Amino acid sequence: MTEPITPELQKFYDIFDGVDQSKVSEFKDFLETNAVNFNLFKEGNFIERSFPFDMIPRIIPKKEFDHLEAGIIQRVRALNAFLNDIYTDQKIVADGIVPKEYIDSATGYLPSFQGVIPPKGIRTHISGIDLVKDTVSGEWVILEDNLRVPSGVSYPLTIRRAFRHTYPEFFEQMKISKIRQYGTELKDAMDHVNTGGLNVILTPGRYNSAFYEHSYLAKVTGATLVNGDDLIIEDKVVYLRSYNGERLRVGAIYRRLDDDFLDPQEFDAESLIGVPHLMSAYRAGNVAVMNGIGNGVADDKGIYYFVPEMIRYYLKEEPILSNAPTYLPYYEKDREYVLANIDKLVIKDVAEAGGYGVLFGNRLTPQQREEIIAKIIENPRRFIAQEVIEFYDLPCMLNGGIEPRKADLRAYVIYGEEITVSMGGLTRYAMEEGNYLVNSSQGGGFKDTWVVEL
Amino acid sequence: MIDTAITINMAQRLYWKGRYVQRAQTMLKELLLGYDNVIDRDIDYGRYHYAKLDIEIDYGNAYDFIYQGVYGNHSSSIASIIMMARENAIEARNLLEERGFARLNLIHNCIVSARGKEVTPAMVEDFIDDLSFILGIFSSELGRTKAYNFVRLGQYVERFDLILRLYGGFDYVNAELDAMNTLAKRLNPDYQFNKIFTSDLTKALALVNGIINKVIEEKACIFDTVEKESQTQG
Repeated sequence: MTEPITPELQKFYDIFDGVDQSKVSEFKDFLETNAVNFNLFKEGNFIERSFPFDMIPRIIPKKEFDHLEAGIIQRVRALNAFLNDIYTDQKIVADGIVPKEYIDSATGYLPSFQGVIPPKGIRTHISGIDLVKDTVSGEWVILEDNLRVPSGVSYPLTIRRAFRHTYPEFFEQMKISKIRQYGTELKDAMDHVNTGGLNVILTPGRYNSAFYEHSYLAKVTGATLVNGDDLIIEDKVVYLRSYNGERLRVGAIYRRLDDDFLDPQEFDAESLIGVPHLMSAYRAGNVAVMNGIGNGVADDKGIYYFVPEMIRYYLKEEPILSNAPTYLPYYEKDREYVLANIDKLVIKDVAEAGGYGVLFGNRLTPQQREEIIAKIIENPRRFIAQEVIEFYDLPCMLNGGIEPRKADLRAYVIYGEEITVSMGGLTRYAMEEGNYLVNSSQGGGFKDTWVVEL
Repeated sequence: MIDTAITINMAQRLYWKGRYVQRAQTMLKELLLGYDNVIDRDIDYGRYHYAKLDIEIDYGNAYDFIYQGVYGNHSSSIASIIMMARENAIEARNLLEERGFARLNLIHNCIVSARGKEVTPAMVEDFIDDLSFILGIFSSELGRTKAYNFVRLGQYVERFDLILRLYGGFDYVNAELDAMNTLAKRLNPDYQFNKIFTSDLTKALALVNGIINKVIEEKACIFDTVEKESQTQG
């Protein structure tokens, strides 16, 4: 079902009808010429691929976005509080809100970081919150919180500039919120937690799927783009090795690699892309690492279930935005429901991401059904089950016409001196009709997201 | 204006980006010159010319000569030079002017998509024009001074390297060596000026190509080695 046309979307179509639509091809040319890529690894091969773009934006009325913004900020505040609690007193566990087993068995939980307090107590510096709009309730529903290394923000930021150059009419005639301040906000957030020294963006390197984004963010923040071997640790202080032999102190690292690869002395000893002994500097409070170490415990799919309770517990507020109805097979009552209703649920493996490990119950063969049931019974903590959210399709320019496609929204949140939500975000759509998986790693495309005031 | 800290890795990328772009332009110009000479003077002109770079190429006529220059299976093919220029540019693009990067990427995309098709002198001229645009940015960019000084240094070194190899122009290199020395000194105040007192081609090439190693401090690299060794031992 396609989202009903709002006056804001109607305004877009009115202008769209009057513009030179043949210029749409300029977007593809722009993305290819500028190598705005989201690369893929397929069967062991590195494939450079520009991210498919659809020019019809998702348009969110300003009032509706204000509501979203309040809900997202509330959620990020609670998640940050949860992480601070989990890595110190674990009051939420002691008070019986979240079972200890869920914390201890979360793959992203790092007990060795218990008691480590990051600069300014901020752990969720950059979050990507995934939402969809439910066709039944008409409300936005949170699908996922990405608190480790959420990617994607550079694509709408990049395409917005091209859009303004190609079709200024929309920006002249519509009141579209600006997003270009994202770079400044990110820089300010880095400065806010910086312990004294340079801001750097740590990339796994050119063959990472999101390398374009790492480079883009370095450009717009003025931070130095570094590989692991550009940094050294001496006396628990991080230094950048400048070309002229100088060692320049580093105060904030926006790392774009997972915990596992960050420090071969602490995590995966095989990692060649990390910085040996970096965690000694982090533990000593000599450098800010963005996002915080061990954040994976909070965006674990199993922990997601408890976020509304976290909001009530830490903030003493009612959640503004809802989760998708979720069941934890860990609880006997939920398990019984899941096993009895598996055909109408989505089953998610909590250890997977990027659209992998997601099974739609109504598409399972009898054998697959038996297998997944056996796995749930054997290890209920490993799975969650959710009601299928019938979320809205958005109109996309495909196959020479306009066709509906499932689309989600990733909202980007920066936690600095204040918490800000970028007034746009990345709208991802599935390439095939009826496909619910919109992830870029699953071949999906993207749209810009316009927050519009009439 | 952005002039961020430059790492050893990034300095190398910028320097090599300058070298490969300059190499591409010089080799394209040589291809055009060779094309006329293959037609007018000697069908084997291209073979002799590439032999100066220790490269063997084989072709049947002037068009084929150009094709082999662009796509031949050798290290100085335009396709491989542009690919290397682009690889370095991708890694350093946050410090580079966007239009220059886009133009280089466009050349790369054209070369990739045209493989197997006829290469005409007009196409070569278009590539030269595009590369001249990029080289123009090298010399006019003021905002990211340090980064572009690395690119310019690479550009100078490459130009003189090729002049020495192809034409043995010692006088020209000596006259222009000051420009390279000045750039190197700007990038690293500890840099000691180089002079060429030899007519030995190999030694002169080693000297010009070694300038970058005096700009990127050896002690930075030594520290790296010591660090890695101590980690291994630890």
